[in-house]
Amino acid sequence: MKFTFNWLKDFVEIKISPEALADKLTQAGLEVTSLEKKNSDWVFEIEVTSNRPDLLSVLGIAREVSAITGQKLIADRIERLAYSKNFLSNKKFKINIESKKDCPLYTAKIIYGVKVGPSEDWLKERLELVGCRSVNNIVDITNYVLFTLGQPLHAFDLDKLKGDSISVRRAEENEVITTLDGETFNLNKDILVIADSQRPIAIAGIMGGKDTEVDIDTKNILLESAKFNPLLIRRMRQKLGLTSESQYRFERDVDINNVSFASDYAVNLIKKLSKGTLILSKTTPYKPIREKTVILNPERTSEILGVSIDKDKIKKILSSLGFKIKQSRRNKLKVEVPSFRKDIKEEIDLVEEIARIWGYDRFPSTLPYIMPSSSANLERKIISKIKDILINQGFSETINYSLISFKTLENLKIEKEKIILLENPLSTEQEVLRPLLLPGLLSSLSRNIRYQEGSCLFEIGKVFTNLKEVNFLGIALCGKKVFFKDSGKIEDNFTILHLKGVLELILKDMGIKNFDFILESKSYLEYSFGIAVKEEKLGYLGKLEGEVADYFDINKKDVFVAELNLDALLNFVDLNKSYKPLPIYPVVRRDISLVIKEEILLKDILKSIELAGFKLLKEIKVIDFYKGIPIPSGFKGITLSCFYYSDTHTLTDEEVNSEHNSLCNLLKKDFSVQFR
Amino acid sequence: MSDFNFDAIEKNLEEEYKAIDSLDALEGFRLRYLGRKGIIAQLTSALPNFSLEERKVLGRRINSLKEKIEDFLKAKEAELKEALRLEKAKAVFDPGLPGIVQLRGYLHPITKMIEEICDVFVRMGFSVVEGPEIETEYNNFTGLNIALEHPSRDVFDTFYIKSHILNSKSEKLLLRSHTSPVQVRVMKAKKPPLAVVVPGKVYRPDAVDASHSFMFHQIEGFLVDKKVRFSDLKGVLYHFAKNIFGQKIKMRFRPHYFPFTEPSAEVDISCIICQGRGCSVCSQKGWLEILGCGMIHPQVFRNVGYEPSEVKGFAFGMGVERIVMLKYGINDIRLFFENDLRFLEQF
Repeated sequence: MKFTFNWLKDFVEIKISPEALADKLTQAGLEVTSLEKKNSDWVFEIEVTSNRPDLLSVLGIAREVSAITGQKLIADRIERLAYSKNFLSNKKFKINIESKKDCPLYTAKIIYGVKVGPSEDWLKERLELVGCRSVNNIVDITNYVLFTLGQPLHAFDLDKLKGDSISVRRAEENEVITTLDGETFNLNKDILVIADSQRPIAIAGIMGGKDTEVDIDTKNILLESAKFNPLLIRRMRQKLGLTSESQYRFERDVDINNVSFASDYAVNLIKKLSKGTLILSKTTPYKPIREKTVILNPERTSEILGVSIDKDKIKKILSSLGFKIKQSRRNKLKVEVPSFRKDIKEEIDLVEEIARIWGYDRFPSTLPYIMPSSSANLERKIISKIKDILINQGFSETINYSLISFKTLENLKIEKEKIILLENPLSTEQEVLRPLLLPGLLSSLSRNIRYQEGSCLFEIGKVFTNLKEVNFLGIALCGKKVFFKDSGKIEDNFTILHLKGVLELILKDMGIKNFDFILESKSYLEYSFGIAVKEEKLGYLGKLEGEVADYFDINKKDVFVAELNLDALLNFVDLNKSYKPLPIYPVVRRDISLVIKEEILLKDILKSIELAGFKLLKEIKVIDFYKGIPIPSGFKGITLSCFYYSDTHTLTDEEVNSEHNSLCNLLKKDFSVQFR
Repeated sequence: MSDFNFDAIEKNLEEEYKAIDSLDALEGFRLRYLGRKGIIAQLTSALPNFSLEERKVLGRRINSLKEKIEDFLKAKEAELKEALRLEKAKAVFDPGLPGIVQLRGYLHPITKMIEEICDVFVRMGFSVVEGPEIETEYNNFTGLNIALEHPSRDVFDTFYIKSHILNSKSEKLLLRSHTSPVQVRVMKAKKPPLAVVVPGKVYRPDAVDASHSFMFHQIEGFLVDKKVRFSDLKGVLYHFAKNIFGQKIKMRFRPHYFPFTEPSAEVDISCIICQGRGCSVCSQKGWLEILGCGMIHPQVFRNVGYEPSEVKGFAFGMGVERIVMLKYGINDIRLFFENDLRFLEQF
């Protein structure tokens, strides 16, 4: 909302500089977003919050200034028109309102014999300073009243209207109007129009029609002042994509008690500035708003604000804002709310008015007593731990959009049944709530791998399926780690074992011991394993299909990815630690080198050893792994270190041999391994 | 006495010493002078030819010559070894080559800021609570006293979930447009006193540009107890701002409007770039808006089943991206979601 310093001074005396005033307005909640000196005046622009349509007028702002500075409002500068009901002409004119809900009040005044011409300089200048183009004296007066009182008006050229009536009605399908700005709109029943007996002559509350505009030849006018349904105006603005100063005010809602007043004020100005005689004044019936009363307890006011404000000061603030103190009894004030303050509904709203004018900066800063909380947020603690592990292992955290395209899912060949779609997406790029973290991670990977030898990324965030949202961890890596030794460059290509390593670290740090990797197949992975804890599947790891990598424009092959359901993981987390004594007797180590068929998984061998329940075998470590000569093709060579220990005595050779031999027999029998 | 021409020996000694350029040459030098048949030995063996008096004088000179040679040897050895070490270092280590480190990753700056801010409030006694990103219309709007006809409910301002997947009886679902619905959730589930901070993602249908994003992060906070005052809100937020932006920060509360708080305020801090003098970041105003806050509206208390005359509370909410952008002078919000390592590793 723009206004000028001089314009404001018409209604309130101001003894401080424009800069000081701007500061005070901002402090009172009328944030001045710009202040500029222009000609001999100053132009203010303020941000008006949606609950205060009364501030979309110079008079409304003058009222605030009066409250802030303690200067009296000079409201009598606005002369209300006094007229008799007996008009000279017996002109007949009818207003038809189709729906009172769309248009609660419509007033029309017919003025004959206006002299249309350019406006006087002062009027022109004021309008131009607030960014409103001067058209002619009649149009300028309607705009002047709009800015001064906040009530939009419209003047039609009466002689261009067909018939002796106007209707406020919904447009019919295929009706067309060309508005003042020259644009043509196809209308329909969602649009409220003002129409003469034949056609729409204005889009109600937003803009008049070109056909009936007031121009230099206009002699007689019809002056409209009305109230329209704010919601309807909003929908119309959205549908038509058409905005105006009028629409802005009607959408925020105008004061029904101000409608006739504004019209009278305009007629006065028209008589003064462009001659003309008022011939007829018509008003549709309406109920004026009864002023409501709110009870205010000054004690409670002080309690809420944390500072005690004198009752007389409270009274003074409220009356300067236009409230009337009706009664003051038993320490309570009965406050009457003016019709233009529809935002004031209960006591707390008055408390804010008092606080605002008294000055937020005058309140002290105190610290409240806060009861210490009994429970830490375990989920956050665990997620933070997992992030630490990943960071320490070289993975960087990404945050990707939760909204992705349908096309992405098609490329991953993911089932679409349980997908959650948006009703109103911004574009097809963001119409689906991601059912997995992969797409965002892969886009980030693609961006980074263009300039890096290797990229290791992760994200922890929500995924959405079947109206459920679940916290997931996603990891993606590709490329290699490069470093130099004396001998030269070493290239360490990332493999699925890098991925397994970090996943294992996370699971172990979460106190989860019984996890397993289970063969499975996924549409977007070349190969993959499911990650299971106690039979429950929590995620997967694997290698991305080449064509999926191509789709994401990842210019390096061998992309490894994993996802883990953290909400499910949480059920298995056990952060309790217990101490195991260090060995006091020697630990006996026996190494076995074996050759096994490639398709036999070491993990199955280890599992089966574990299940066999050897008593002295405390740990097995893989210390070598090899494929190629001298290992025959189709086979792999593995060396295991087996550690035997008893916590009651030093083991004898016989004891160790006995158990080690049965271990070897098991390997031979169940996995047909060869020993080397 | 011609055999004992000390001056000539010393002159010779110094010249030879200067010429030594390797440890081998140094060893040769040592043997020549201190060896079993070296010059010192020769001199010493000639001593018996002299009288007792002469022997005393000559013996002293021989000794001081010997000491001088030993000092020379020590000094030269140190000098040569130092040169060798320098030589060796150059041969085996070129500091221009990259060092070998464990790969390290970086936390996202948004995560870091959320942690930092939550920590400040946790130290004051607040608990961290999170809420779902898919919300009901009630929790996101109605419960927060946001009127049915409020523009923020428009499809232009809130993402709605496509309805065919909902069962007919259920309420309309949406992507939360702020973290405030967690207020409703927590208050419905628990009785005061409550002191809670809520970090999380929120969504609004804003076309993406340098300062807009359809997804961003907020931190919500609220305190509900018997006697919570507006001045407490000021105190808590001032403490927060000093911890995040520095002890010298100034703060300003401007009246504002939010449906779920009354009185409401927007909070500015003195511009952290120009310290309030006015610059391009603060549009010459000297102030930067960082959050919205206020006393929880009595209607919100009624909606969650609290009796407004018995409880008071305050709530605040801030955009995390905005705070990170202000703190580090980042001018494009899209950088947060592009996840370029060259960006991430700066924080």
